[in-house]
Amino acid sequence: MRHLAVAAAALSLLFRPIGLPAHDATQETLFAEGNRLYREGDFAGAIASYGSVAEGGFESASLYYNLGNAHFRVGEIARAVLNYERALRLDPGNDDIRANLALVNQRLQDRIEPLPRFWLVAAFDWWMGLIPQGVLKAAVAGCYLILGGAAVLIVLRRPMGWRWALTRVAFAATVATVLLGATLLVRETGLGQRAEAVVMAPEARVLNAPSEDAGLTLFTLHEGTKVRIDRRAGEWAEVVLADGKVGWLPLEVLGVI
Amino acid sequence: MSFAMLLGTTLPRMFPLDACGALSRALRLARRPIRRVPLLLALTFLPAPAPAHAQDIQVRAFLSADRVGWGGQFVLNVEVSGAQQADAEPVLPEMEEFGQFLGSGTSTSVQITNGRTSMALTYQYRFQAIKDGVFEIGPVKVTAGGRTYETEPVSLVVSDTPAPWGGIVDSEDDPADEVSLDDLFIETAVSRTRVFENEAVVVEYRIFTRLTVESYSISMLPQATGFWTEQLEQSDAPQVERVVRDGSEYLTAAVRRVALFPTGSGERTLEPLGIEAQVRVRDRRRRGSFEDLFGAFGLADRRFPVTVASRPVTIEVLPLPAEGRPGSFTGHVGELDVSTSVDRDQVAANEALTFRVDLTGTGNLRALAAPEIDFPGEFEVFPPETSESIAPGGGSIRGSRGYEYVLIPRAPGSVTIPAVEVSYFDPRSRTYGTARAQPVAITVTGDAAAPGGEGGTVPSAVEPIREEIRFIHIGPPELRPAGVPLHSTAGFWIVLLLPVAAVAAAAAVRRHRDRIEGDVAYARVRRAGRMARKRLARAKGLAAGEPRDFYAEVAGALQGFLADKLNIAEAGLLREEVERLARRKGVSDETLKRLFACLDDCDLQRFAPAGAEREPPERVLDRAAALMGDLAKELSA
Repeated sequence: MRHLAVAAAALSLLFRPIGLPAHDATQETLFAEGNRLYREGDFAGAIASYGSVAEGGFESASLYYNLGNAHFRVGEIARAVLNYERALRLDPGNDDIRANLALVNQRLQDRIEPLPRFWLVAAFDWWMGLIPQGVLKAAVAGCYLILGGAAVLIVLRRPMGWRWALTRVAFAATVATVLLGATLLVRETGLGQRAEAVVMAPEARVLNAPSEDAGLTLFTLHEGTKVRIDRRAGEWAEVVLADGKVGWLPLEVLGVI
Repeated sequence: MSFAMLLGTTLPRMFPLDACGALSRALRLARRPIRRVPLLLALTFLPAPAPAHAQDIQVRAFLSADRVGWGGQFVLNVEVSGAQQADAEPVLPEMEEFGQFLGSGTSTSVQITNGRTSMALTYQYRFQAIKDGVFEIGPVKVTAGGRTYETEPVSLVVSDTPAPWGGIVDSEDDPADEVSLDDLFIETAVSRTRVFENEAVVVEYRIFTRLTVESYSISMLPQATGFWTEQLEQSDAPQVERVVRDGSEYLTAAVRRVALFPTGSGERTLEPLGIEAQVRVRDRRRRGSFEDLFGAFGLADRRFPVTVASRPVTIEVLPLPAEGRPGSFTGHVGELDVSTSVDRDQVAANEALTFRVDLTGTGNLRALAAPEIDFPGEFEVFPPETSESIAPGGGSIRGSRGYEYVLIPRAPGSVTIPAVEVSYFDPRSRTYGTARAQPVAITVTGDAAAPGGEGGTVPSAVEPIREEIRFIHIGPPELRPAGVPLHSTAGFWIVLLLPVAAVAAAAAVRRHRDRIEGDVAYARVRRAGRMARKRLARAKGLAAGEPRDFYAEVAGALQGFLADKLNIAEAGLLREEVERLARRKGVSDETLKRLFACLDDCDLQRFAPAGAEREPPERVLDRAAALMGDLAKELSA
């Protein structure tokens, strides 16, 4: 696991964006400063410190996770949920994030019984969240490079008598690359992922139409509840709850994940 | 003409008084109604009572006596006339300051005057006076017939000075007034009135009497506020002694004996102790021969209760001096000695051992804190069991207190329990002292392995105290610009294209190798330069030796190079053939001329006689190398 982490770190260095400058030391310092303030119990200071990293245009699962923790500590439950959800998008399999999100969800006012999901969808989600992002990137790159190496040796017919073994390696590497690469592709592009949001207002009335005047209140939601955004109409979003209830909410009461 | 008929009933309402302890159990008082009103009524004469009118209700409060001695009893009567009953118990004003409530009762009287019936209901409250002075008993509130009435205030004088007989109201009826304070009193004996904090004060309350006291009970127990109270021995039957005081003989008995330990410094007051005694006197007023006859048998004696109370006593409590206070001092005042013992000084590991600390001395031993013992870490220590035996001795309390610790040594070796140290303040010498026991050495045998069975720790599930969020991530944040897709990173393209490039290169390499293996001409062309360079290098090695060999080698290198490049046999190399082929492959005339010149020079030099002047071999080699370079360039162009 250690080796995997090292490989992931090395790869993340390699995977810097071409056009943009790499994050400089100040962002790391701000993050470390936020950690220090959190440890000293100055959660508001930690929020400000983490927030300035995020405002600098950078993100990471750790950053959102820590920010969520700090928000939780000062009692801003909705912001905590929002940041945990964002962290989970970047690192779906992280145990800490899942544990804290589950704990915060227990303290929410709204209790929503989620609809049972089709097992294939559940399996797909499980697979998507199984491998941490860094490890996945390293795995895809590794498999692809192994495939390349095997192909080179096959072309060169060297060493003699290894052709059969090399073919099998190349085949296995191809399968792994395609599978993991597809996973990475889905994750990176957010393919098939619905827009989701968290209710930020202490209480929000869900209407049956995207209009304050014409809409009738269907039900009320409270801060921290996660909703799926199906479509938007101006300043309004049609939200779907985990139990299938549908209604319209103004976008201003929502924090999009 | 009128006649009065008196219907007297008494409804005794006895309240249990705080007569506590063995004394009251032993001397249970047969309580008596407050006032016995003889029943004089022949019921047949009584007409049906007319209903009382609400407007006739009158309420009056009066005392049995407006002057009472210390500890004496007074009765507050509340009379409601014109009503058969009150709606509620009368509400009395605050009287705790000077009166200790003893009991209450009611009586009803019916008076018929000229056919009109008037009724009166009287509530009677008995109190014991416990404070000197003049007091006003405020209005008593009575609710009767739907209205609330208030009585006039009455005043009460509590004093020991004997009252002028005329001043006592209603005295003929109250036999208690016949008892003076010299006949029956309580005395408080205090061992000393100036003590240190937590030093024992032995207080003894004694009853003195010249009358015949049939029984007595404590009506008021002093609240020892600010003291730690230790009740001293109290036998069920009090020891009665005979003493002579001021020329009179008294009977005396101890009512209560306590040791008090002040919990703080300053002036403290011991509150009075009240006694209700059942007194029997010979009736002095109605003295006829008839009564005398009965009096001889004691039948004509009258029995009535008398209350008395002790005087409060003030005790001055001194604080403990601050200087010279040892570190192990925990507040004990009195002498103290300490001894320690173990049940055995050799014990196997994981076997129990009993360690005993005994503290003996005087003072407030019951409140003594356990001494602090610094047990070695090898022992598992269980909380001690305490035992004590305390007895009064002289003016103080003497006794011992024991602490029994169960120790279980967990490791073998020899261990020493350090000396137990206790400190105290000796109020006699006014100094602090420290008592110390000997340290105890214990040899633990056996091995430390596996605390077998009962001694071992029992594994238990880890129970979370609360659920909290997990801690933040501290490692490097692995920040990346938000919203930047993976394919805009350099590494992505490097990883993507590297194998493609490698495979392409491998394919090129393989193609070259395949041609070398299958195509002789291609192989010779690709080989020509390498072979020629090898031969030139060999020629350079021959330059120092035989000139013939050197020139032959240089010429051979050139011819070989040409033959390889043109893919013809080196042996049958004809000048015309070479010229034709080379020209066709694009070699210039100038280069050909230089080539043939060089070959001619080589032949010439080869066969020239020894010693003839020759061109230096380096120059020849340079010429040949330059020629080969030019040829290769022109041939591939």
